[in-house]
Amino acid sequence: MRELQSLVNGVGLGALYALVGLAAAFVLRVTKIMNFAVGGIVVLAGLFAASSSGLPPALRLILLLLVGAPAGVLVHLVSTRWLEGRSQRPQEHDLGGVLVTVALATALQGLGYLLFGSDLRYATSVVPAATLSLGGGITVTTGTILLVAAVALGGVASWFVLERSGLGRALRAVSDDATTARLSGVRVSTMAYLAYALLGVLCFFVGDVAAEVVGVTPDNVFHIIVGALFGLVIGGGDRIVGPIVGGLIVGLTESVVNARGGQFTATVAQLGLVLVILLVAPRGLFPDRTSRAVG
Amino acid sequence: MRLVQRRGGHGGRAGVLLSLMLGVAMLGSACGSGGASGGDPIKVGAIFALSGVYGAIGTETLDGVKFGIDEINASGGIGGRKVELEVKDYRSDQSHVVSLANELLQDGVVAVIGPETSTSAVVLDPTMASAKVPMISGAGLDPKGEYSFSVQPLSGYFDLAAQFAKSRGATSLCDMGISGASFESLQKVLEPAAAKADLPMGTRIPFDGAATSLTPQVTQLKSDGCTAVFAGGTGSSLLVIARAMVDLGMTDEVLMTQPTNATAATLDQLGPAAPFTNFGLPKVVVADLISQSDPARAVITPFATSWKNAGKSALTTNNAIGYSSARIVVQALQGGGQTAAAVYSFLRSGKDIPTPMLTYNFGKTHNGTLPDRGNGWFAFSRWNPTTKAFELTFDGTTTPAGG
Repeated sequence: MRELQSLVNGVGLGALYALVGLAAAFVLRVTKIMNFAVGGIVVLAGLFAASSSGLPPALRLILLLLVGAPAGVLVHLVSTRWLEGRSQRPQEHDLGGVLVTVALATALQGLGYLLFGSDLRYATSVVPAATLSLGGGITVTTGTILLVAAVALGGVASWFVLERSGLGRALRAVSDDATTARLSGVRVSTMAYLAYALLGVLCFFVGDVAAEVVGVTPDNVFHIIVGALFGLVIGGGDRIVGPIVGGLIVGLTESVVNARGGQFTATVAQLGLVLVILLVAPRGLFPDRTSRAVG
Repeated sequence: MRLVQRRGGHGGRAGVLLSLMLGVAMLGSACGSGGASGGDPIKVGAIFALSGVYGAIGTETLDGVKFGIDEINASGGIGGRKVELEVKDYRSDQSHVVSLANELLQDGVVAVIGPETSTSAVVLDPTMASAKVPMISGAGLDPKGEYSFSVQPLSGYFDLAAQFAKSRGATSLCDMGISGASFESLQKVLEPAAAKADLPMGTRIPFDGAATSLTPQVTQLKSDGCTAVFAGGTGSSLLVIARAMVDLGMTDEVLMTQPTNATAATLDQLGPAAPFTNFGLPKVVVADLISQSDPARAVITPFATSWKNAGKSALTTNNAIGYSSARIVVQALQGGGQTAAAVYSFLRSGKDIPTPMLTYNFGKTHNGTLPDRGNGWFAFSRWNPTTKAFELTFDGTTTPAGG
């Protein structure tokens, strides 16, 4: 019973990592930078959601999604855009970009402490919270179901935007070769703003869901992004399915091992898994087929 | 002889004049350098986490300290001198504690109130002992330093917790706590308490204090058949445990936790876990619910009333701990003297020091609070989110309330 319950618990945790991983993979594909600020944006959005107890949950979610776009643009202006104007060589930009996003994540964490304190906070659920029995003493919450649904929704939306829309093609073109894209008539700077606006919307959505289901505190900023990063390494960031499967594997590992051996053992197991994947399949379990054929 | 006398007369007047001038100059110098006499304020230090992990507890405790200091100053101070509180925020980072305490000591404080946790207070033990300045902290573990004193309730409170679990039909007492010294300390106080209540100890699980999910651990409690769980740790870890119990359908069980976890923020976030989460609280926090015949009432009511009349938000345990800390320092300054040495001597003198939370006695015999501090001064209550008020669930003397 305990093992089955741990698996069900792990699905919920893994879905959260998958959602954050989707956001991180989105910006990674477009800007080629692993943006650690994603964890900070998610947590800050969650804290705002948890502190809006006077608003109906559905209205709160809509407002957050509306605020998400300009928030994402602001992150772009503070981090990548600012660096673009200052980097002398591309190599410097890559390293500097990552470091700036780490600094930004720390700053967002500090802002969270300043505005909301260090307490764990929960938001009122859009879908009324309930615990459902699966028989044999196993339970699943509506929150876990909501997280899984959010992963499916986020995955389909990301796939559509990146793979099937004109915007996605332009974003990928800029990502692959900005100069060629510019010569082809793509507005490179506009695409970057759009990418970050979409990232903001996705992060604010994840933040609201996280605040409803697992609660948020500024302490979570790096825990969330590290879990999602593990998932991204395991699944790979080339395809939408990568961070989803990777996140679920990380969540399930954490839940099952933690139940038997504690949090420390679970972290060691996750790191071991990441190490094995890096040795056996450096581009993750779901690498881009086109890249493999060419490379 | 006459000449000598005359000279002596002239020399005497000049000498007296010179002495007076010197005396006035010295007095002025003494006053200017913050000496112990005259109307200069008596400096008391306060060191708390006002942000970070312990920020909520630290902020609430400091509110109580300030209330106590303002109260004594409003009544004219101590011997005509005001008490000046110098506050330092260590931001939940223990690496800052010693340097901030040294700043307070350099400013000439006669006592330090805080920090709010054992792990932060223990860092200061050598510093305070070396400076010979007493520290009145909120440490849950017995303080080890010669100049370290704690206002946290210990063993008697856990006796009440075990009795409460027994009264609710529990067949064992399970517990979860932050791994390390804190968890070991919890076992040391829970085991004898459970034995007194004739209740065997059940599953015990240490956890990482920074863990954001404790569902695996709570799943283990569920599969082991735990019906009464004592949760150590912070308000945030309590929330994680309580929410996991809701998710796993353990809403008919009993969850108990320590008094300091009943912060305003924790109560605000309990949600569906509120009906089965019980806080052991000092009776002053639930003064309105205590029966008229309760002997604690005479001591707790004046403070509870004045807090309410001040228009402040609902009194919390940490407010009460802070106020009690301030009352201890004020009584030591009044009864012992206005220096660090006098405060220390008074605290170690073996005198009873009444506060609205407990009557303390830091003498060598007691080395802490009085042994009868548990049942007489604490009650178990749960928070009703709808009415935003506590409901008494167990006061140790009567049959438990329904629920």
